[in-house]
Amino acid sequence: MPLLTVKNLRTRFSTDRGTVRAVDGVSFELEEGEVMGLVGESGSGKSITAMSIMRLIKEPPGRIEADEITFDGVDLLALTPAQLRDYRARHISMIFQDPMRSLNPVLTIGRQLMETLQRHLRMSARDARRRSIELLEVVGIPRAEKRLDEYPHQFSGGMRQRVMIAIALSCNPRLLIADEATTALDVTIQAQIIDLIRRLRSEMGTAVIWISHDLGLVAGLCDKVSVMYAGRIVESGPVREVFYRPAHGYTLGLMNCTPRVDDIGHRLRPIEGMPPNLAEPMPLCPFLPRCEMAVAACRESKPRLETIAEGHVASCHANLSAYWRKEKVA
Amino acid sequence: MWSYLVKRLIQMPLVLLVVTITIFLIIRFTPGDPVQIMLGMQTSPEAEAALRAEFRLDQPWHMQYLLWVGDLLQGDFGRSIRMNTPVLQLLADRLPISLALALSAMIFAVVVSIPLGLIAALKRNTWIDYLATGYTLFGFAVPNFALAMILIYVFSITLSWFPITGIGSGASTAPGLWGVVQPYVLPAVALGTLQTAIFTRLLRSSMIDVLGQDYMRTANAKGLQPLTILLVHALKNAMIPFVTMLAIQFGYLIGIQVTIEHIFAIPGMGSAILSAVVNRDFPVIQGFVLVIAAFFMLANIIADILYGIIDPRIRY
Repeated sequence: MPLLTVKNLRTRFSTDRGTVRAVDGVSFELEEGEVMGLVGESGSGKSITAMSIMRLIKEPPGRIEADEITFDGVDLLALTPAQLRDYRARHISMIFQDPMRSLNPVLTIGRQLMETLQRHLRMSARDARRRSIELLEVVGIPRAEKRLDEYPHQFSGGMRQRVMIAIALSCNPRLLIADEATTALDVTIQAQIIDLIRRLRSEMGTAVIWISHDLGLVAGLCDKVSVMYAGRIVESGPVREVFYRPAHGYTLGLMNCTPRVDDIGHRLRPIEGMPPNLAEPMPLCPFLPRCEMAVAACRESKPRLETIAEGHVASCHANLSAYWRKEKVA
Repeated sequence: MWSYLVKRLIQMPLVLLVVTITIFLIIRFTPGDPVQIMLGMQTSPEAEAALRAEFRLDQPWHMQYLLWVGDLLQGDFGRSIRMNTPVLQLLADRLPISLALALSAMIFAVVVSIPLGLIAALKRNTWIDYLATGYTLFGFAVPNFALAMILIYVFSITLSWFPITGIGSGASTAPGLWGVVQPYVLPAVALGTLQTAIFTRLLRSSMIDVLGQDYMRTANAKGLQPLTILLVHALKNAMIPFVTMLAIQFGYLIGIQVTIEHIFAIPGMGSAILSAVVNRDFPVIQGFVLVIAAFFMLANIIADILYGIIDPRIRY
């Protein structure tokens, strides 16, 4: 049984300009200890998908519907708000994009770490403090004991993200959702954080949903990847499969705008145009207006998710095999 | 922190010096002669000259100023022309009453505005919020003397729940602590209603701002109890501008009690200044305005200190 099963997740927002379908029929499964990348442009619905699983969307204006969201055999959709609170941070943790603003500026780091431990693990203040020091050491914050009594503004961006990770990991959750967790950080710090996530995953067996628009990072960190566009998953599969043999025009487009350090002088090819308005109905492939690979069939019907190879699915009419890497996919 | 405080306290006498010049000039160069008002038109020139000499009004104005400041530095605020009592004695009688009134108005304002502001922010754009907004509009719009009249009519004359006067008279209408508190209730409500409106609006807007911050999402993602999230994570942030405004408004309240004191016959600073202005009682006006200015400045310094205490990002 997978750790997390999401079936046909639909998250909508009522706005003045109609109902915005921010997430429109997303399905995926995640095994214990598995790392899944969720990639796509800003506004493609990655964060909303993640927040919908934890039901962190404000309802109204939001509205979360799904055929199934099951975590470890428990139907998350059926939980009361109080039961759901018991799951948050205890079993499913989340790290957010902006470490500069995700910590409360008027509370000490120690307080923000300890309250999670005291809330979920019923630790005494003394035990929670000792555990907090350990956690800060685990995420690589020197002089942890002293830093516990400091405030967020006394920490650099990278250090704050480490604190966020320490908070997220404090109760040994089984699922960690990292939403652009390293986007705001320097590359060197980013590498350290990635290393840390890898270590935690192998040591604690934590499953991870890694939301990012950095394909290189996802390729290096994740087991499998799902590509989102206009609120849907347009392609997903094992990382090597998807990046060596992309089967959706959007995936290929994304790869073409990803720079490579070892390819000096290579021109990046931006995807022209803008993502579609999610308040309007989309009878055809939502990527069609921007797609360079479009074929005649694209103007006639909406493509469905079809299997390309074992575990690799994509919803695209075009045949992209001409762009595939020649090497054998391991 | 300490060096900042010392710096502010050093600045204070300098600002107060400017205040003395301003008060002095405004009073001396507006028409009205205290001696004439006191003695009337039909008086002997000798009596008039004697009175002028006694209060040094026969000196050129710059000499009067220097002599006044010289006396102030020695702790002598002069004597009232009208009542012939030392200004310091008047201050000692009236300042405590004004402070008590300002404090009771402040307590009323805080007790009303914190729950009202919180509920308005949490129930934003619902009828509860609109009701709170309606109340604050009323608070901003209604003049305190008009409110005082209504309160007296309803609660003193019609319902007889509260006495109309009684502050500082020594006579109490009820036994024990309630007898001390009771006469303050109506004046505090009349005086503090504007502040309830100011504080409610401030708390509502800062609370709405805080509720939209990323760290509130973090608090929710931690699965904390709603009350913890509200009181610890949200309110502590929202209180930063609130507490600052609290201190400033307290300083302000000491200076604006004139009409309320008049209506409720309260022997505070406001009514003393009012009669001093009418009688052109120079030493009293000067001394009282100076003390009010000093309190206003102190309130501002306290606001800055509180700001540094609740917001760890602020370091002086």
